[in-house]
Amino acid sequence: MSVGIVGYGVYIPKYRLKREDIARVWGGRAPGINEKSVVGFDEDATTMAVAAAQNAIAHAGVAPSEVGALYVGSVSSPYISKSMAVIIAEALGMSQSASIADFGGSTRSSTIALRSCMDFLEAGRGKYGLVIGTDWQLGVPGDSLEHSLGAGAAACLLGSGGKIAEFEDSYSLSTSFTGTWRSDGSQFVNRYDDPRYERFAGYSKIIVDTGKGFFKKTGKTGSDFQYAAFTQPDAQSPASAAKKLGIKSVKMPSSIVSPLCGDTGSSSAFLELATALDQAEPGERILLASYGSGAGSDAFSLLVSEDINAKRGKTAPVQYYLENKEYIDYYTYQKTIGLLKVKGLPEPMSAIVTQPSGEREKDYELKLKALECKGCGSLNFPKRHYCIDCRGEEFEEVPLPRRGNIITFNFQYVVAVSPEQAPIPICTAKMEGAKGQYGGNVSSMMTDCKPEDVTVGGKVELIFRRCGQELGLVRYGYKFRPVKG
Amino acid sequence: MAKQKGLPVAVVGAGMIKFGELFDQSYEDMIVGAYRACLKSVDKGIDEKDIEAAWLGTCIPGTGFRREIVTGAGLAEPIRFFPRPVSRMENACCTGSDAVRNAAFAVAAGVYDLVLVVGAEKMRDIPSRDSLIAQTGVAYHSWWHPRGASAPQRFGSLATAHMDKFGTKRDHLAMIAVKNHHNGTLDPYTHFNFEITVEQALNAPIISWPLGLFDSCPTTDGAAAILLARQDRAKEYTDQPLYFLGTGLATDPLFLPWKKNFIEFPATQEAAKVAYEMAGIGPDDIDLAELHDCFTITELLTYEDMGFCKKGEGGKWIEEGHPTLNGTKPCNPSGGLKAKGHPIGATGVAQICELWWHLRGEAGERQVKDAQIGCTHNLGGLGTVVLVNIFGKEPR
Repeated sequence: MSVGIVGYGVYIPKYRLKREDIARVWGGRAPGINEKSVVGFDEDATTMAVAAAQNAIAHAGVAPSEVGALYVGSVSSPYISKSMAVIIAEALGMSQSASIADFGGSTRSSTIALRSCMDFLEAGRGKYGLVIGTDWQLGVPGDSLEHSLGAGAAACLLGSGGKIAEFEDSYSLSTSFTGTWRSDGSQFVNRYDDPRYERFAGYSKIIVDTGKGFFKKTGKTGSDFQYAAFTQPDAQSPASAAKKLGIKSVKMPSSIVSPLCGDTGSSSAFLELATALDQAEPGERILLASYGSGAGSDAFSLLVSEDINAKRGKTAPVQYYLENKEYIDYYTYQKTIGLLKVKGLPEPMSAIVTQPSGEREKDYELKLKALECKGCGSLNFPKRHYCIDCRGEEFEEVPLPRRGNIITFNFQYVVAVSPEQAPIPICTAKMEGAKGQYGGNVSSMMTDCKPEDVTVGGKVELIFRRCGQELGLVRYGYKFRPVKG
Repeated sequence: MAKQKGLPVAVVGAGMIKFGELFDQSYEDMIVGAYRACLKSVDKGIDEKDIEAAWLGTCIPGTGFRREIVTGAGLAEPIRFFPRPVSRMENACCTGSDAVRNAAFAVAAGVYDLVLVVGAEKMRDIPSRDSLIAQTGVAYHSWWHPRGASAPQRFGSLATAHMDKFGTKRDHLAMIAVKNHHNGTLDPYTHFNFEITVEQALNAPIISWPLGLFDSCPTTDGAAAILLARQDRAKEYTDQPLYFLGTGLATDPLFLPWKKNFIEFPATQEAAKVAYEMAGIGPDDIDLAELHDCFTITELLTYEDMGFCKKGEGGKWIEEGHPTLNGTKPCNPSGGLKAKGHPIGATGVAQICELWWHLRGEAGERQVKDAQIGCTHNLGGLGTVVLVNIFGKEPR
């Protein structure tokens, strides 16, 4: 049973950033890349993958429930631990019992996913399988990778009936040669700053070695292929690699998507493949080859079949996405991808003091003023308009007594604050010399004490301490400390 | 002081959903469930079109289930009630019973003949640690609140003071938890339906000393609904209505240090006094009571403040078994907030469902024998708002 592509679909976000807009701020360039695609503020690898997959499923004319496998290759999943592929499968309406997996580690991940999906189908474990490459990566501002790294997704629906192109053979080459990498915790792709060594030992060498290995294994030569669909780290190296392999690419250049979208990572080779399939005729051959830094390359030959014409026009061509675009400036780009950050707001549950109320209450909160009722003498704290005891309206401003005796207390074992350590003692004390039944009490957290130091009737004093910090602003207030002796 | 003798209003239907961690039910699903259960309970049937107005009790708009504003549409939408009027009530833990009280006032005023009250609360769409336990500033001044103070902290303050003054023990609190858990095993609507022992309660993790895990009610989802009719039209719907005999609502300071003391709830004393007076009864006439046991100490103080026993004798009263199912005055036959759970807006309405079953002789294994008069009690804040409603088999 031979496996082939029964449908494909792509997605490229509509926003573009021009090379000169980056250059205006930082200078620099990336070979052959004139503009790059940028995700919208509400897009990511997951949403792009769903859009591309929906196009592929529609193109194939297959029900999502018939798709037995979904393998997603990406280096920009929103999660390190949690499956992006399963979210995509649920959004597509696939069966919960389908084989679903995330592939990552390098931009070669999408063709490893492809190889795995072919294995799945060749083993007879399902009728259809879906493979997606999806990525948006970030370069450090001002680096040439900021010029080159773009956004996009492409999906291939594989099966054995109704094929528009058939896989003939494949070849893989693994090597840990490293040109770019992104380490755990970093949002930016890093690189060795040596373009000439990169050309000597990197992409150009590895993809050519893979092609040569493929030719040696299969007996084919470059002249058997009309199209080269290679991963595009820039828009010049793929053409020279194709030339070295003897592929003339008479019907289209070796870089269609990358000059206008940049390096779309794990989706890059698939986007070039889709561009070839958009125009290929039955009997033509495509050499598909991926590349991932620190990983290697996979090469596949595809023979275009008769059914391609019957399905033409049933998926949005790459050209549609290349033409539907809107330019954004560099600041909008930085804000969209989160490099220019919007100021945070306090948590809704927070006890943070608002700016006006902090100012209003300062006399009581920081200066510890209190009001003594002229009628009954009750000590009202903080400020009141009617006496808490007798409802009198006239007060004399007095300092709050600092010492008092505990009337009740407890120890908080479950607390929503830090860095305080549970158990936190909290007490209410009747302040020394304070009159009133309702008045004269203060409640606060206790500090510098052990639970055994706390008793009803125990003597305490208010001391000035830090009472938490929020939005970087320290809140100062008063806590009780036991009075020794 | 109560100026009115009873209210010319009757309960003609009552129903609720089983409370719990209802992860598979939305706020709207719960409301529809309670509404349908309530309709089904009407003995002689009801034409839904005859319901003229409704009240919705929901307490926590933003933080509980991430809604910014709860309006009457929260009820009108899911049961397709519009354009009829729905008022939304919020009054801390008295939310549900205050919705009932205000609906009854509208019927008593002669504005409507038949109204619906629904109480509903979605508590568990967020982790329980992010809900009430994290609201550290509730009973304090806007800025003056002890770091880490939460609801258990406020009620724990009362437990410490009561123990210090009257010699009440943690064992007494544990006995209340054991009683309510036992009752809960007989009630099909509870969140928890397992027995516990005094030892388990005493050895459980401490939440806010002296209160432990089993002294605290859980975080629970739920909804309950009742139908109120003009008293002289109640028999059109059922031969066994519940008559609204009395209602009392009272307030007390919210700011913790402004409390008069830490051994009583003056607002419970006042609300009970007003409700008893309106009903023309005293505490001895109550056959069963659904009390607000958000924490076990709250139930213990409430025995005293409702006048079921003398101030300071709450510990002895539970020790002697008076509030148990077979005791002299069964309290929380439903299992209370402790076992049934406390979906805030639903609680006061669900307590009336419990009275509905007992006064009509439909409470099954937990039936309080020959129950004639029952009361519900809710306490919000730190005894800051307290509401007592009284219902009976016969009108006043």
